[in-house]
Amino acid sequence: MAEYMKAIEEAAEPKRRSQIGAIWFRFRKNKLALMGLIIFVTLGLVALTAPLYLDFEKDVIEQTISQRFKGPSAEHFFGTDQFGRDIFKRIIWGARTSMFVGMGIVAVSMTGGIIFGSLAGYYDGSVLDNVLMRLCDMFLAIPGTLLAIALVSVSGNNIPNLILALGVSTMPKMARLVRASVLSIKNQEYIEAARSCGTSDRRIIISEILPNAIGPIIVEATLSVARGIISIASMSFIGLGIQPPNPEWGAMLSEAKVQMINHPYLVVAPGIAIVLTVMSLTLIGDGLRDALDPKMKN
Amino acid sequence: MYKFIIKRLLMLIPVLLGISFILYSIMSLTPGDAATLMLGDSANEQAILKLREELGLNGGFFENYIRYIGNIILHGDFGISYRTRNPVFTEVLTRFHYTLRLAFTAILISTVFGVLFGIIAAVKQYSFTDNFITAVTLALTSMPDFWLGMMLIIIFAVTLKLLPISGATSWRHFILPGLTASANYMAYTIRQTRSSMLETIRMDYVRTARAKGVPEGKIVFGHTLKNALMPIVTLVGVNMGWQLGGTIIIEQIFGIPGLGSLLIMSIRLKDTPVIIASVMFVATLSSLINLGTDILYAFIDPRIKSLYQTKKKAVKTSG
Amino acid sequence: MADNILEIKDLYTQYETDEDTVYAVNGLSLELEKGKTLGLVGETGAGKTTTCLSILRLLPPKIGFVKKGSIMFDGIDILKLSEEKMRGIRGSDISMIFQDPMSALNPVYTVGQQIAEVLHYHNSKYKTNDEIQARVDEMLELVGIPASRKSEFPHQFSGGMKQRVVIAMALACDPKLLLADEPTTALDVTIQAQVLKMMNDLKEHLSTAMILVTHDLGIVAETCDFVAVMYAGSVIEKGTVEDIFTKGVHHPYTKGLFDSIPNLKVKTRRLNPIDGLMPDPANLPKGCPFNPRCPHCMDICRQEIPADIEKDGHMIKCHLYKEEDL
Repeated sequence: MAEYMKAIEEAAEPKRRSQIGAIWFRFRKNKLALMGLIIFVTLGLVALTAPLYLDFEKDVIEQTISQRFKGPSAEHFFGTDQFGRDIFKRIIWGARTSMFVGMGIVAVSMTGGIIFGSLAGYYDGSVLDNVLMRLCDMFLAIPGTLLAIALVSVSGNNIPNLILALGVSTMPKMARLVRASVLSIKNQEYIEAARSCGTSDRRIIISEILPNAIGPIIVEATLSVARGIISIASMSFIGLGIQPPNPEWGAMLSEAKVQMINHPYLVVAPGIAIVLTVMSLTLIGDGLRDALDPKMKN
Repeated sequence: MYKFIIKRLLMLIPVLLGISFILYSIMSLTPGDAATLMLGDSANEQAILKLREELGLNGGFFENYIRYIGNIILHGDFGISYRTRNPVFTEVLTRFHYTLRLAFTAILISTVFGVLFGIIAAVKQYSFTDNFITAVTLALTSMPDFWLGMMLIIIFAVTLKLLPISGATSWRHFILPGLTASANYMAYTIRQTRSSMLETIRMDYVRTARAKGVPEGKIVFGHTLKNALMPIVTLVGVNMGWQLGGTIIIEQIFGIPGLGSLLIMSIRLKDTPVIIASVMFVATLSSLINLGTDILYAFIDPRIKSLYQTKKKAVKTSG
Repeated sequence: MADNILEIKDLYTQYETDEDTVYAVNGLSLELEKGKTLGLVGETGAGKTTTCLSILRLLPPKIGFVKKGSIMFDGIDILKLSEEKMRGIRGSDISMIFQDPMSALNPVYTVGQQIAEVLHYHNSKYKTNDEIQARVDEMLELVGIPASRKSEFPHQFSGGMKQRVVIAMALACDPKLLLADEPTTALDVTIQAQVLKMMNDLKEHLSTAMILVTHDLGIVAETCDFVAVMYAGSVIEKGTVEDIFTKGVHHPYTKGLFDSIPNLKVKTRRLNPIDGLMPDPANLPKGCPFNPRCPHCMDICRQEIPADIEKDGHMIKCHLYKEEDL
């Protein structure tokens, strides 16, 4: 009997240790997801190391009127804009902003989302749950970026406000997701076991439920960053986001719009940068989702 | 059935009140006093006080809010635009039909083509067609709608000169904006339709139908599609709601004088009543549309429909 | 030879995925006389369902393939038929019912519509709408459901009743062969008894041949004429119900199956399961697939797949015996 039990334990152990390994293995097999990861990591590295090879004042901001509206060349890979600035270098610098703000937004929405979502899910059916969910409904009933626009226009146009506003407007979706995850885990037997041992609610949520819910949360977080980057660009486009002369992609497109009819090429590069970044993130998110779900097509 | 509808309508009210409260609170935090904004800094102090009285801005926060809501419910009075001095309601209403036309075009395109391509992708799973469709949807969801709009303008209006660049006077003016606005949701609809079809095709009852020797055509369109489309109905409903709010930027790019451009202008000028009214208008409409979708869904799905039928009809016997 | 409605010879069916190949059916041979019932017995994963799907050619496309063998139905090799002709056979000459009644019916069509569907798509003797509806009524009454309920939806019926509807659908066109894949496993024991009795009665009434897939030996004893025991994709013992159920010479696996049934009359402390587990069909052992678990395993068992030893219709696939032993 004892050997039998030991054999079972041994069979279970290595599986848990290499669970992350198994997930990574499945992720790796997905060629598209891998490609997305490579692209995103490359972009990230390029953006992070930018201060090493680019000088903000000289390369990104300085206007050289004599050089304006030049097409792509060896010296300026994507050409120059209406102020003679090198577009390629501006795009690289813009990546820093997008990624930084994007992650900030997700940090905010994840924090709030996890706290509210797990409380609502764990105390499912209670007054707390109902109140929180009605609040979510209210926020979700305001379509699109309207809420963020309203918040930013009131609180002033700076980066922390932008991150907060967009974070708050994406929080309800994350909260709902966390709540659904927590709900489905809560009813499993090992939670009941923990509770019958007298473990405190807080402990249960943090140590038992959340680690199991983390999968879908991470997938949603990745896709959130992707959506966040588009949101930032949209806000900057209508003038409520990052202000010039900072080279945010959306702001660049806003400037390009004015010149659109005569110099259409200005529109292309920042857009492609956005598409590339967002696409790679989406592929990573989808790949993660597939890798976390063992019941695949086979 | 009516109990269901009434219950949902009643649940809508606190949500709408909540939205209005949130928006009103946000707007009261705006620095600057409305009356001063309207009359200018150099205006006479008495005139400012008088105007504040008229606008209902004196008194505490809650008093003002209740007065505001009271005006809306009892008189349909959303206040006066700080910018134009006209009643907000008329401003919003005149512009609304442009937004509606744009949203409608977008919904039509995204639903019809979304479902169509979704079905094609599912039926031809893993083929080149499927992969191509998947790639295109990925690209569409990865681009900001305003960029797509600009690129379409450059290609079709500027270079090929096939369609007008901006304005809203003819139906042709709504093609490019409609396409732009539909892109994101069309991509989403394609993905959802595809996965819903694929999921349904794996269902046991499809296997039963095959075992009965039912021809493939009836299997796809009769058995699979009918079931797969039900969740899509919900999607389209949610889409409509979001579409109404998501056209802001597109209106700006294409010069369509709808609610969206009104909103942006009002934000720049801190025209609070207009902002709140516009957002509330859109939010209310989208909530109503969501409700409508839920009701429609209950009519389509026989399982849910029977839940609401009278007891004597729905009888379960064992055996 | 007896009048066989079905003759399967040397069937090999595999599932091919990106990761590996699953050898679900390996050299299976079966015969079934007209109007008789064959119990196809085995544990989960033995290949019983795959065998039925192979007969109807309903294997998942691009994944499941019949690699070798022949399936003769009423004299025709159905593996060689066009898909068009095969579709004509499904539901009208050969019908199949599946294990889970809860999900077997389409939720958006009424029960009557679904039965009518199988009549509609096969040129049976029920051509006009009236004839079809009459037959629908007849079938429903036959399975014990009032015909007035034909305009109701599946969710308005309980599990047992749903399975009866499924049976009504399967028998509507008077098929010559019915493949029943664990039709009562998902039902309560009392309902199980009812449905089985009904199936028995129908079988007599309509003289349909049936392959009843099950892992329950009790059901086999009650309803079957012949038995085939499957293990890891092939038939390791077959014969009449008497052959299998009476004491005598048996395949070690069969013996293990019977031994593991707890005896109601004798007090025992421990159960007698068969040691070990069914082999992974993607990774079958060399030689006889039962060799890792067999208490009588010999060297040759690990090397060669045993031949079929047969006498008077009783077949055992084992190295232990020779023909005279049976």
